[in-house]
Amino acid sequence: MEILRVEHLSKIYGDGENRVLALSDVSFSVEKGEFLAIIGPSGSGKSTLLHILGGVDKPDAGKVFLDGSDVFDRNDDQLAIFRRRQVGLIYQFYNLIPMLNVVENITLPLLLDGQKVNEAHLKELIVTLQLEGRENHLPNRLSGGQQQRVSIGRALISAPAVVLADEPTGNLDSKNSHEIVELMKQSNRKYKQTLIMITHDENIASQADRVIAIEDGRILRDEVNGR
Amino acid sequence: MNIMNRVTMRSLLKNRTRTLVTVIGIALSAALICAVTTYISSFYNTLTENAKYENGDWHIAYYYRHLSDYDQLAANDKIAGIEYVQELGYAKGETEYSYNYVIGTNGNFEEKNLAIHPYEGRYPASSDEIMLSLFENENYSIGDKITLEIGDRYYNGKPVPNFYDELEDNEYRTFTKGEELRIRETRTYTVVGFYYPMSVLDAAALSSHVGLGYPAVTIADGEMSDSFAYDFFVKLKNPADANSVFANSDFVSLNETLLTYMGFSPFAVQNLTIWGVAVLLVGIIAFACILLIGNSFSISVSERTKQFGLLFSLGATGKQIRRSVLFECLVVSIAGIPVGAALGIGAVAVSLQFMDSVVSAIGLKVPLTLSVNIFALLIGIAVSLLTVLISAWIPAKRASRITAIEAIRQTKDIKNTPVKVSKLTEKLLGISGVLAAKYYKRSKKRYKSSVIGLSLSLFLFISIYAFGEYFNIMISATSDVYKYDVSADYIDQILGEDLTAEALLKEYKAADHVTDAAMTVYGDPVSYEDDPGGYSVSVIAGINKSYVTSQAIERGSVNAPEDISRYSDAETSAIYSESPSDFDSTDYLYLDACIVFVDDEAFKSLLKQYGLNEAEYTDPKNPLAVAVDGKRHYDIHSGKNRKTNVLNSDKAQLYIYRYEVPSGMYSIADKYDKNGDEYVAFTDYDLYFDEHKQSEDAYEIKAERIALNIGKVIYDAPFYVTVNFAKLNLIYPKSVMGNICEKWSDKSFTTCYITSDDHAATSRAIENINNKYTMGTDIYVRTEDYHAEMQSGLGIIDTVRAAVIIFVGIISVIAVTNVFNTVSTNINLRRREFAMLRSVGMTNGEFNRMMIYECIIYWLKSILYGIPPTFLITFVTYFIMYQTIEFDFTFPWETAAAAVAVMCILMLLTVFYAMSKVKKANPIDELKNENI
Repeated sequence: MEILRVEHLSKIYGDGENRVLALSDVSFSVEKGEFLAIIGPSGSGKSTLLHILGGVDKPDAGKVFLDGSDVFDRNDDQLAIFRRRQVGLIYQFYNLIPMLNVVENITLPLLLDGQKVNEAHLKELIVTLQLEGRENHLPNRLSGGQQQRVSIGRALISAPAVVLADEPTGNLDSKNSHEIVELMKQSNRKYKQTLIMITHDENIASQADRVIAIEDGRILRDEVNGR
Repeated sequence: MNIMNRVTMRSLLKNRTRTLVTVIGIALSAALICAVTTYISSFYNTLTENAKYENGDWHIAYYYRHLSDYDQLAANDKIAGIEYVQELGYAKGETEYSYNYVIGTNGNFEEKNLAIHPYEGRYPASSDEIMLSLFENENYSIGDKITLEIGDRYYNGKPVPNFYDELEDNEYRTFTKGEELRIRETRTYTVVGFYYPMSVLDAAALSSHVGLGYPAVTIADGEMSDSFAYDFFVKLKNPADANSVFANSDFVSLNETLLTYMGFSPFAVQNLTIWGVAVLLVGIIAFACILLIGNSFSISVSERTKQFGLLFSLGATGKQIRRSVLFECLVVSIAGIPVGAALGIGAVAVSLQFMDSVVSAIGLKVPLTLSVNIFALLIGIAVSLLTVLISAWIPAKRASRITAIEAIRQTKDIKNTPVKVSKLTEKLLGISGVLAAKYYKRSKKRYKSSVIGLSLSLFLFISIYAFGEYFNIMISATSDVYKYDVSADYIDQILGEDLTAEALLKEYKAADHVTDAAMTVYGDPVSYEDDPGGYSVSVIAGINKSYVTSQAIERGSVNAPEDISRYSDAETSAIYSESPSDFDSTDYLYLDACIVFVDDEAFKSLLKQYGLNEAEYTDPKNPLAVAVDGKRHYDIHSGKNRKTNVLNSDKAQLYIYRYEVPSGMYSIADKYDKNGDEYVAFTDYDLYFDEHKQSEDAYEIKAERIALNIGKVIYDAPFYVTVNFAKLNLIYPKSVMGNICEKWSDKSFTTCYITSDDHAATSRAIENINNKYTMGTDIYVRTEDYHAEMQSGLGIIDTVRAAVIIFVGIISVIAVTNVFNTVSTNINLRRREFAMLRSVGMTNGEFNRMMIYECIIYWLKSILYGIPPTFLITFVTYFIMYQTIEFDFTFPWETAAAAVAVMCILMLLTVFYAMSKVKKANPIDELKNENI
């Protein structure tokens, strides 16, 4: 079943001499429960693509359909609600709110949405993320790997249609990287969670169901990993 | 608390210093705004209390009434209470020529509804006790038993009217020769106290009596009876009804001052002025505070931009972000405003303790006391809250507009275009200068708010100061501000062989608290055969056109000859008589002038003041005059208060005409020759304007022409010259009077002008001196306390002036905090940058130099942006005021320079204070401190 479809996406930054074509006529679609890796050199347009998929940035041309509906056929508030319910974002630098503790950071999308937190689900998630006993810690008391696990929890808490990860392991040592990737693969399998991940790591990319390579804003390659 | 508010709350707590600065800023704004409203309510309360003290706490007074009127008033349901005063009558005072006017009050002294305030002793408790005025009762003391024969004053067999409306100017105010006191009854009293009487003008606050002597206060006879007249002092349930109840009947007056300050009066225009100024003050403070607090908020928001972006990407809506900023503003308001309001009220309470000079300048009889009006306080708090809301709203709006991606990347804050720094900067100032310039150029936006804040401080300070200056000019020009405090008029009546002018002047000068005194005589060269006492203060003087300014011609200060009546003032005659051709066809023009002869001592000190040669000005053959020019007058053509100079140079010649008006010719008109020849045409006034009869009946007499030479023109009149009488005043020493003209009008008009440091005491002392010489005669010598008179008129204006002074002080505080807040917050924001610079090996010296250069950039930019609009607004203020009053434009350069210098010092102090904190920090910690 198709969960995400991207049609002729283009994005241009700056103007005149500084004009940069970040994305140029990008089209692809993603099946539900698929683990898609996006690879490419710096400045190839990976992050721009991810931000557009997440409804954080807007395309200059083209359309994005998530679960059958046009993502950008929404006003700003609807888009915000879309982000908190349909998308989970994971950043390279975790981007936790320093003033909030682990539980608050994880449940932030629900709290923003005014939803009640399902305690059982939260408990399960915390156990899965190996964060038991650290529920009330502030981010500055956690290691990088722990912080990234919190941000994974935040991305998963609202059971979004798609989880978008922007080099989630880019800032971690290899042991932690491995754990994080395992965790994400686990959720991908356990919850049939669609996962789109930007990575530089060939090893991680090889674990994905499918790899899209981007260069200069265009899709260079789109191939299914034969495992 | 929802999640956004929780984040906000914790951000506030985490950035304690910045939050504190913001809270202090808010507290300060609230303090300023509440201080203004509290000042206004305190001033108002004090003015009201003062009016009650001076005139009594009543709304309407009914004089000379009877029992039936009382019943009628008592039945009026709009009336809350009535105090009555029984008019018992006059009793001889301590001398044959003085009286006490005995009044019986209803004994209700506790509420202080009547303006009787014991100076010594106590209020009378029964109808055989009496309280006397402190003045004119020096022979009595408390405990004395006095017997008063009470009756009415009669003159020529008729009772002397008592009510002030019935009295001519000075009629019967003094003992009139030939008057008698017809005794009605004899009463015996015990003196129980003395009260301090208000001025004679205010005596109507106690009874209908405004005649001779002061009221003596006792208690009225038990029952009201028809055999006495009563005065009723009425307090209304609602003072707003004063005008309708008052209904303009006879012998009624409103307590206008009190009603005005209470806000119920046709004179509410004065209230408008005070409230207008208040609104202006609060408006300007609020405006300044919005910029000041807004600065704090926008710094806070830009620090939180990344946080907002993150929240945004996680699905927070723009509304949620805006709300969180507003929540932040509510929290800091709740922390800041109550403290500020308390601080403001406290500051007012303290400052009122030091306002004795204002109290005495305004002429208040009660001290300025703090009055916290709940309504005023609520307005203050509401305005403060609104100020903070507006301050927060602008950055909140901006924050919610930023897209998540921009916020995460913080692209808006850093400009990526290359920044050029001139080679000269590099050569002259080295790397420190280059960094300072680059920093400024790169983050112009962040700088802009600081520079705007600083410019605004300069702008407000200087323009408000200038406004205050212009206001003072306007006050002194539009109101009759006399430079003397007390005058004694008609004193030539008591001068004679026994008492020379010199001796009397000496006696005046020795009187209590006198600082200076001068005696003047106005010279009138015209005398009247029928009326040797006929006298005019000003004279018509001829002047060659070459000495006269074109301004004076345009404005009708001088007149062309022909058709100019002495009986119409120059302005009026200018309307119907002159056309420009008249001025063109003649060399001689005419104007009103005063010839003032002042005692030689005063004249000599005038010469000394202007460094003039005594011999030239006192030469008996051809003495030179000192002319006072530049008279202010209200010009009916332009509707302006104008200052017009008549003479165009120091040296000028004037002619006056000496002649005698023959018997029977009371109606006269003067006619002057176009060539300045000395003839004057006299005619019957009516005939003069009747063309047919003129030729037959016009009666001409040639006048003697006397030349007057001016040696020096001054524009600041000495205290003894009243510029109101004429366009030009010529001052001569008294000793040359006979040399200028052999025969002046027989009757002279001698006046002594006195300056004093205690006008009331001096006025009494001068009156005593005069009484000594007039006692037992029918001579009336008038002693006037101009100082007291001026005060009543200027009370409101002085209040406004005091408000402006206070405001400039408050603005200075805003300016200082603004500078401090802007600079220190900015430095705090750059801690990481500084840490980086130090980590790459920047020395302390280079560091300090860089900061000084940055300070200078700030400073110069602030001057560049601050001074031109200040100049502009000052000029606009001047221009607006110039529409009603003409005065020269001055820009307070010295104050501006001082403000600019002080700002520079403050900035440097602040920078080094903030830097000292930054320097203490470990650069590595600062660099690691990645704050989202």
